[in-house]
Parts: sequence; structure tokens; C-alpha cells
Amino acid sequence: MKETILLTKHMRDNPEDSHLIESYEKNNGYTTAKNTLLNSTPENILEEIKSSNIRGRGGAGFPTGVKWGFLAEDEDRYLVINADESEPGTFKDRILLERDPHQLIEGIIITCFSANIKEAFIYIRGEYAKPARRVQQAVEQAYEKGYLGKNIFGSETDLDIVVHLGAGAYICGEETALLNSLEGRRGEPRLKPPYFPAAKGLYMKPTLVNNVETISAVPWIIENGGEEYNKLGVEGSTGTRIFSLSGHVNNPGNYEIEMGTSFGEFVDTLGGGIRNNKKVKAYIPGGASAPWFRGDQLDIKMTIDDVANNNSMLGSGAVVMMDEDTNLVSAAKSIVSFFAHESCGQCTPCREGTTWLEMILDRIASGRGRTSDINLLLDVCDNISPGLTWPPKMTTICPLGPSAVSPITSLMNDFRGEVESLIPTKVLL
Amino acid sequence: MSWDEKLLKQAKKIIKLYPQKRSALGTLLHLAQSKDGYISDDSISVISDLVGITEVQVKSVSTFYSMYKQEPTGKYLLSVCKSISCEINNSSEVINKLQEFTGLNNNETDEDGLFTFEAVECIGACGGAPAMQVNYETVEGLTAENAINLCSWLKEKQPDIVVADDMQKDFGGVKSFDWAIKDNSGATSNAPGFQTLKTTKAKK
Repeated sequence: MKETILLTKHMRDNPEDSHLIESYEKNNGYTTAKNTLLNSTPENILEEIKSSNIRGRGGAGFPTGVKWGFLAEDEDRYLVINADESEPGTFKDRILLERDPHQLIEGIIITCFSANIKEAFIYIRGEYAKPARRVQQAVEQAYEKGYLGKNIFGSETDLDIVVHLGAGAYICGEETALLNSLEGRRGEPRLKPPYFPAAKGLYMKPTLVNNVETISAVPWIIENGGEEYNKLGVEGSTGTRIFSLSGHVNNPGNYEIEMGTSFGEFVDTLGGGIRNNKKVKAYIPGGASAPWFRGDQLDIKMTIDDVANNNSMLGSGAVVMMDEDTNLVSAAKSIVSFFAHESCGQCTPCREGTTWLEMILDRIASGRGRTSDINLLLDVCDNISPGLTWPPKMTTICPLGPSAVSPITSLMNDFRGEVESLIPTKVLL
Repeated sequence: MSWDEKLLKQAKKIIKLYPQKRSALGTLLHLAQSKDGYISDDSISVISDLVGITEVQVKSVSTFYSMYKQEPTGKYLLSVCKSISCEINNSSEVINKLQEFTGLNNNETDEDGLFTFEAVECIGACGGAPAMQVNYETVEGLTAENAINLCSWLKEKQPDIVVADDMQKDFGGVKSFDWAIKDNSGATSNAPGFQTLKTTKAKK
């Protein structure tokens, strides 16, 4: 299989200076935005996005055109780019921010024109200090050129972009937590309803919250047409997607491919196979929140719907391969520790539950587990997400708590023997 | 108020970037940290006046986020990733050896104020696992040995600016992505958050 290069084209063609406006413009950058602002209408742009059938690349996979269509009327409306990429295994937005910030800015200009928005924020996780410097530099270059500010490209359109740095909280990837954070509050997810920031978002005003990759795709879609984009990939998962491949593979990295191929083919070709010719014991199809697949499930297709039909999620597009020698209890413990650390603490099932799961798994991993621990793990999981179903039922404001349950249900469903083998049968003295 | 005129001017510029004053809080906390290496009580008081909220409200926000440090931080903040991709690529060995080398527990700073050590969650360098950051500059494809060499080098040279590309070249291995822009900018302090936010914008 081969990659299909749309979003990563400019950065690959110009590896030395793809982040600079001179390089971006030399390769026809900003012409789509300029044409849009001078010759198109907001309705036309929305139609193209709808006909592209692009779905959000942040994790939930919500149709972008539908989201834009929801945006309520108001004098003040905002666009917030979610660049809080923190899902373990994911590093695709990092490359888009670091290597091609002008593509994102052009996407923002077109999006704001379509949605009649005059103020946009790029919320970048604090640990991405270097990518954030690049984006800030790019924003300043765009201001100097008159591509941001008042009367962009000599049109009637005004737009300001503010780059905002987070400060180390995964939970701010949840859109309402991100908005609270941007309002200068603790990054705690908001109670729903209101369900959609498009109705009540930043300062309770209509707000579009979109992922970096989604908005970076906008210039290509508008330049080539929604129909062209819709032809790529498969129905329900159109276009290309940047998958972050990591774990025990020979060639980890970001790969831009059309959705629809199988995980096995992806890993064997682009990923160069598993290191030392080992077999896959288990793999994560879509970031740490996603339930695992077994090594004998590599023929599952990489589409949003195929993965969902197999009771997991394509999520943020982070694929993590774990070979036959992996200690899956330690792996699960690492993921649960992550969620315990990142729980915002609002909801008791998540705050207390994730901490208990971490302690019990730690006990088992260090050889001090108790026979009763397996049922205890499942009981704690059931208190966080009743019935352990997929998609998970919730006892909490946001899905972070139930996400911590995913690796444990995967362990118990498919690798229970491995957990049991770590629990001593003799009494420890 | 013990922020000097220059800092206050910068703070006021930052506040103007946002539709509402309070939105500047996160950025002002980064500014405070770049001044002192942590969020001092004094900064909390200044910020509460600037933004028009109580000191408790400022404190409650600053303690929510792990990058705002509540105690002075060493010249080099060593953040080693322990999340899933790094974990299955032996990050625990890097963590153990670095703790041995520095003699530091998690979130501890040495007496000379040179190193602060922390084991952190995912830093988005999973393709180059195991990875770490020095003052938020990323080094990927580490081995325990190279991580120690990196820290020995920091200890010996004590550079004022640490640059990801330089560290990667001398101490790194596999990277998350390969096509690379040569970049000599780097982190000038253990709170590089703020330096990315120049406030030179021509606002409406």
C-alpha cells in the first residue's frame, strides 16, 4: 500500500523551510483563502465541506459540515482550534503544527469566512512549546502580510487569531474543559446540557471547536472540491487521515493514508512489520482510550465504522502495536495510571475509581495480587461504567473515567489467563 | 506589586489579546513562571489584581495544571515520558537510571538548583519512544545510557539555551517523524511556555 499525500504534501516537498510563509506561498499557499474571500460565499464553502463528508479528526468523528451547520446566530462567535493533542500514542497534530502552520492558518481563514467568525483561538498544549513557537511565528508572518487583521486580502473580512498555550492537562482536550481553560478557569468539563459549544461555547457564545487535522484539510477540500475529497477513502470515512504508528514496529511514524485498508496491511507495509519478526499479541487501534484488539484481529479495516462495529474506536488515529513479549498487565497499568493522573476530580467514580484501578493493577503487576483482585477490578470498572458495554455507559460528566476502563475490559475479555498467572496462589508471608 | 514596569506592560498587552480579562490568566501564569521558575505568592497577588479575581481563584487555577510549578524549579526540567508507547519501549529503565544519576525522586529539585526530575504523561513523541523533554525541548529514541550522557553534558556545559535538534543529534535515536527543519531556536528557561507568546499582534 501507498500513502495518499494531501495534508503532508507541502512539508514533504519542502523539508527545509515548510514552516515559513515564503515557502508556503511559493507553493500556491493562501491562494485558496484569497479566492474564497474575494469570490465565494459562506454558503458555498459550507456546501463543499458537507459534500466532502469529512468527519472530525480529534476522536469523536463527528461530521464537520453538520457541526458547522449547527452554529447558532449571534454577534459574537468564536472558532477554537483544539491543538491539545495529549492522547497517548498520538503525535499527528504535532507534525501539522511544527511543519505546516500556514496550512492550518489558511484553513482557519476559510472556516471563519464560512461561519462569519471574527476571532479564532489556537489552544496548543503547553508541552508543545516548540510547535507553538512555530505557529506563533506563522501567525505573526500572516499579520505582516495582511492575511490576518482587518480587511484580509482587501476583502470586507476581518479576523484575529490568538495562540494560547495550555499548561499540562489532558482533560483540556475535552472541548468544554478546553473552553473553561480558555476562559481562565480550571480545566473541568462542563455539565451537559448545553451539549454543543456550537450553541453555547466560549463565554456561552456560539463556538466551533475543531481539531488541527480537520481544519488543516479545509484548504485542500476547498481548492479541489468536496466531491474530490469524498472520492478518497470509503463511505463514512472519506479522505485521508494521518495515523500515528508506534510501539514494537520497525518504522514508527506518521502516515497519511486513505481509510479502508486493514491494520495488518498497514503495519506490514508502511510500518515495516513488527520488530525482530515477533508476532502481535495485542494492539490499540485509536489511542489509549480505545479498547484493544488481539493479534488475530489484524484484518479489521481502518475505518471509523469498522472499528466501532468491533467494539472499539478509531479515535485519534493512534495505533500502538504490542508484540508477543509485552507484559499486558504493565501496559494496562500504564494506561490506567495515565487516566488516574489526568482525572480532573469532579466526578467521584472517575476520581476514586481510576486511583483504585491503578493501585490494584500495581499490586498484581508486582506479584502481590490477590485472587479476589480480578473481581474487585471488574467491580470498580462497573461502578465507573455500568455493564462494561461499548460504547461505554457513563456515570461521569465526560468520557475520561470510562476510558480508563477500556484496557481492563480488554485484559479480562481476551487475556484473563495472563492476569491470573501473575497472582500468587500461595499465601505471601 | 513587585513586578517591574516592563513585566506589567507585557501583562497588560497579553490581557488586551482576549475578549475577557480572565482568559489571560493561563498566559499570565506562564509569564509569572518565566520570571521566577515557579508561581510565587507574590505573582498570585499581582495577577489577581491584574485580572480582577481573588487570589484564591488564581491559586485554584495554578494548582490544577501540572506545568505551573508550586515550588522553585531547577535550571533544567527533566521530564521523562512514561505513557504507553514509551512504557512498552522501556521508559522505566530510563526513569530509574536518571533518578539514580541525579539522586532525585519524582518532582524533586537538587540542592544546586540544576535539575528537577519528573516522570510525565504522554509528550507526543510516541514514534520515538522512549522520549523525554529538557525544558520542553524533545529528545526521542533514548537509551538509558544516552539519557545519562545528556544529563552529564548539561551538568558540564550548563547551556543557557537548550535546543531540541542539537540534543537529538548527540543523544537521540529514532524520531517520530523524519523530515526535519533545521531549527536553532530553543528553550531559554525551564518555563518556555511564555516565550512563544510574543504580543506583537496588530490587534483591531
